[in-house]
Amino acid sequence: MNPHDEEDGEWRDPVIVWGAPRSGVHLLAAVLDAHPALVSGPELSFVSMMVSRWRGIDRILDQRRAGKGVSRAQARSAFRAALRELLTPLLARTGKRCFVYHWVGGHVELDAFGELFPEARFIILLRDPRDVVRSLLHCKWRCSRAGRASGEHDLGAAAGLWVDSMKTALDLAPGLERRNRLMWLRYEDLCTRSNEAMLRLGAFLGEVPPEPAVAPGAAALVTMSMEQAYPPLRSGAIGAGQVGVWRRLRAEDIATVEGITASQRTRLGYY
Amino acid sequence: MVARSTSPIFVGGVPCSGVALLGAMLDAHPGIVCVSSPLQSLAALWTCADRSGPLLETAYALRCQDVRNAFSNLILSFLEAAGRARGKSRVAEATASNLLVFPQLGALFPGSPLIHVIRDARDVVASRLERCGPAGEEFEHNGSVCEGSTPARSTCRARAFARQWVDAMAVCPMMLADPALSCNYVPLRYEDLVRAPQATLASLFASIGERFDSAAIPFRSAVAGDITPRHDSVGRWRQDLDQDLLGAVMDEAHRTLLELGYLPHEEPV
Repeated sequence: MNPHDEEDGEWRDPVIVWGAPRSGVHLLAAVLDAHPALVSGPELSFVSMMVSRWRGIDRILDQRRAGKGVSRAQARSAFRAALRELLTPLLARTGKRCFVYHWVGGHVELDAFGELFPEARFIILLRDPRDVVRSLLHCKWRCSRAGRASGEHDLGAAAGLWVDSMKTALDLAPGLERRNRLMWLRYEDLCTRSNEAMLRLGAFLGEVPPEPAVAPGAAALVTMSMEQAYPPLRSGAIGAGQVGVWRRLRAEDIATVEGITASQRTRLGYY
Repeated sequence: MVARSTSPIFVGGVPCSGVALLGAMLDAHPGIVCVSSPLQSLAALWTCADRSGPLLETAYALRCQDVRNAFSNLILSFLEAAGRARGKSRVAEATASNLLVFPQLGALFPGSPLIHVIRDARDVVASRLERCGPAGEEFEHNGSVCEGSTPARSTCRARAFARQWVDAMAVCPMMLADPALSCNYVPLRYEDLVRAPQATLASLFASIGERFDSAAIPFRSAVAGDITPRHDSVGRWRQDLDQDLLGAVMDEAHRTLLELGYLPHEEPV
């Protein structure tokens, strides 16, 4: 039982979708948005910042221990209340039960989300790094978080971004896996074995399986951003057209990417 | 004029300008508790959320006011919990860097007094030089490192502190120019607080909607113990700053000191 049920009323801790850039995060967020119980929206960077700030405050309060004033439980409750206040209007407008928060790349404190939302479910998307790099270059990758200029074609930096993202995931995942709150989902499975992936998703979330398709409205919604210029997301049935596109890269580029990503790539089963 | 007497009180200023002194004086009031909270970081978070305003309205059915309420409630929950722990009804947050988020605090808490403690830049620099320790140590300010001999480093520090003071004073015209902020903006001179605490506090408490309790003098605070304002802290620069240090401060701060009335108009640079 969620220990915050009493204070939170009908609130249900969010589903959190995260992955490296070009790994299918927006695709999955849009798919889940069509589910009758789930609703997603544009990426909100300040929510991640809030969770991170809560973590920092929680650590300070923990060190103070006998400090006067706010307790750790009160601080946690205050942050949960603020986030609930910010997300409830959307749930009320759509009549849905659970919010899907999605976040692409960058540093993310998944474990802090896990502590603040003890009933939250996490889905980490994996994609072959060679396809990720090819996609980043193909879509004229612009990554303000990584400090890259618009349109920069930097194979090494793109591969490095994937490595950094996966390192974050692999470091933080064990704590969530132990409590059965984490699902790893391969982009390749999402695209080539969609029905099977939807069944797994439904079982993991305790909901009926989502439909393996993207509604036009959801495609536009989840890629809206005040910070990033995300490439548009195609609507319609999920297709397998972007799986294995790395083979179109030059041989030396493939070798470079494989070299940079070797450790995490083999660990994650991309040979 | 501030009418509400329950809204939190925010105190800010440059470091070593008397913010802690005023915080302790407020804390000595039987109805006010002075607390420390993660105020600046939460106000900065609100700024970040507020920048997403159009997106939040379109996609999340959130109006700017809803976002503002969520963040002011979040900040209040920290302040009020600390106040309840001390059994007082009104909370003051006194941290020098609050000054940096005065505009945000003014927007989040439209009824709250924003007290800006202002002190002569020369005394601020003298006090900060004393506090920051031996000048032989490396010192970095705003990305630039003060190097060279010990006197040169001290001068470099003095210049950096004076520049920081000038930058911070830019908040005065900004607050005064905005009617929504100026009505709650309370500039307060450190020199007045030290030379005539009773009269200054009586006037301050009236402006923030509190009764002045003369029993609070001498100030005894749970935060800082006994507080005795030191009269010699006003004009200390005459003893503490040599010609080079004073020159560095005046290079940076002369114009602002003049504008704030800390220099007579005929005084040479």
